[in-house]
Amino acid sequence: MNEFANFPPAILLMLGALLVPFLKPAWRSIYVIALPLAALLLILQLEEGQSWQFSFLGFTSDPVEFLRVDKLSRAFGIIFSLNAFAAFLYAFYYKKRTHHVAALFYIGGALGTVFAGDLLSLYVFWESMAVSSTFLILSRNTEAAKGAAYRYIMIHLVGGLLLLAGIILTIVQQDGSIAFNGFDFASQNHAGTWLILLGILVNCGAPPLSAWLPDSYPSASVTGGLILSAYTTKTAVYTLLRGYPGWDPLIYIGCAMAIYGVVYAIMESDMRRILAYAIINQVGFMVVAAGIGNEEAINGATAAAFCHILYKSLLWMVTGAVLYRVGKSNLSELGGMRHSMPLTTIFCCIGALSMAAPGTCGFTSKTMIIHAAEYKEELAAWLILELCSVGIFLAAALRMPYYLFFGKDRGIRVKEAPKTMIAAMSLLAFLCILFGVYPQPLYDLLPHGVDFHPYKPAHLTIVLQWLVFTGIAFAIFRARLAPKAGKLVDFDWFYRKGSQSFYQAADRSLNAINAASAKFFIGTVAKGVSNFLESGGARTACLIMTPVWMMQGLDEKEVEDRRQAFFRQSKRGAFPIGVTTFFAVILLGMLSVIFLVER
Amino acid sequence: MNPSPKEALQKVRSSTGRVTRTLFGAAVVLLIAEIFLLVSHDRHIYFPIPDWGWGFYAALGFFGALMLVFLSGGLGNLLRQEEAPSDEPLPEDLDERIR
Repeated sequence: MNEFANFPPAILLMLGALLVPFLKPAWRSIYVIALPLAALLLILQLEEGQSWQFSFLGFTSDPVEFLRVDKLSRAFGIIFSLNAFAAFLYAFYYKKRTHHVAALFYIGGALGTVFAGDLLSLYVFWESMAVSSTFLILSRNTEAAKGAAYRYIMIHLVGGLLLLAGIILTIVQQDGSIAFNGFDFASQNHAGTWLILLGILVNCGAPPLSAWLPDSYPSASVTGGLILSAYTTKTAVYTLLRGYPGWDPLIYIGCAMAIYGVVYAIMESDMRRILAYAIINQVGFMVVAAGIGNEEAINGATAAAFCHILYKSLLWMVTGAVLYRVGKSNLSELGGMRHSMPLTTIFCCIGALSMAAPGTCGFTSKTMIIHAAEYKEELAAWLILELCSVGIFLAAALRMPYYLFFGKDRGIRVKEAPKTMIAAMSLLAFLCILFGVYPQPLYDLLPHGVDFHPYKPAHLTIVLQWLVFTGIAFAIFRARLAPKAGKLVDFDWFYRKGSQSFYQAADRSLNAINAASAKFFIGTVAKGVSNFLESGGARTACLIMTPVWMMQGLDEKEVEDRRQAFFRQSKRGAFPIGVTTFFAVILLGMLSVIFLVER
Repeated sequence: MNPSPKEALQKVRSSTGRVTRTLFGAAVVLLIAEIFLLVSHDRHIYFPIPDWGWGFYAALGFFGALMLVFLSGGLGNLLRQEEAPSDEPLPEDLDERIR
């Protein structure tokens, strides 16, 4: 039993996934719910300092560590497995084997990444996430999903290669050590760590490497999008908190993410794409916190990631339930859904308010990051984060629920979401409120001691003030925020256009080189070689034999006749063995002379 | 003829929703509450901007939202496309070119 106590939860899920194809549909659904629950129980009993390591064929000086337990990895592990449980409960109706196998591998990869104690394990689990998540996008089985999956895997392979190159350089810099601890900005600021950072930022969705997120998540199936929304960006946040605390550039990158996410979320009309941009915005807050790097910021980022997974998954479930029932996701085609889906409406309101409102988990977690920025006197970052809090509340907490459930009734009448979906949404809604009203269990999970009191009258008043005034602004100007049809141009425009131009340039230049090469090698060189092989031997032989015939006293006509006859004979290869031997000896002699001269 | 205050109030009530009226009421209460907090020095201020004191977060909420509404409105007009970029047709002779 003790042997199993520190078994890596990632391996549990990945091995468990292999059994899924052999189970009957009904058992399969129960099994995939039970597996994350088992992983959750396994993580809950893990204690700080526990590890699971082995030597990798003696290639590395340190052991490979598939399990390193500390408070940071444990907090992420708990929310990952808890969310997986809720997601599979939600996906009870979904029986597709490839989806479940891919999802379990993906979640296993995420758990492996947060518990990885070294750079090699980190890379292995990181890449397993990239590959398995692609199948989650493909599981929707539409042309759009195929295109999105292709773009998704391409960008993640680039990110993975950057990560790999960085890891190799860092291992060299660390004298062969594969240890993965915090990189110091002053002393470990080299190409390797920067490449790793770039690889991580791809997964964070930092602009301009961000377009994959709103492109792929909404293209996935209802449950695929839900599962994807929780893990890729949060493992990247975890890796930043672990490896890059206090790296100043992250503050600026995080601010850029927050602004980009919020502006696009306000412009966007597809409910799932709004949530995708909201993810980029919220991850921006966490990236800023990693850049600030003090204890309160790390706590804030961990708490924000924890709570963000809860309320963002709840909102993905809500939009997924609408998509499942109606088959549409553009707000310009939806409206008045509260008449058909009252329970889903309530869950949507809870999820939306959980972004910032008192009494919900966003209030007790995200404000910690803003407070850390304020306390560290990062004026610009603080102001941007405050403004982005206003913006994302406007976009995802007011605009989206309003136009989906309360706006103009478009007469769409469907059934309420299935019972298992309602159960999963109830669980997450309950947790959103629980950690909002009583945040102590959440604070106990955080890496450092917490000295943050969200319900101080001053804090409560200022947050309520901006929430209410944002609400007033929405009430007055909501007509300007009405959803519109059409698709927004994002950074992917550059690589779509760029790849097209690259294709055309490559087409013209490489094909021109190809044609010139063909002309030269096939038209000239190959023809020459062919001619030589066909008649070169005969010509050489004639060249050698002509002086011999002339010395024999033959006149010019006889020499020419002999040459013609000899040429025909040699072209046919019809020489007696003696003559062939004669030429072989001459050739050998020439080679010997060359050899002796060179020596 | 000017309407009486009662009639004016009635007009405002009919032109605004219940939610909006509640929001305005809450806004007034919160702004008054902030005065008490400032007087009791319960609010800790780190930056010169909040030193502006009363109503900073109210202004942030309202004008921040307003700014984002207009910014995204303008940008949306520029960036919105009728057709999805992914729907661009591939070259007709793609197969030949690859071959």
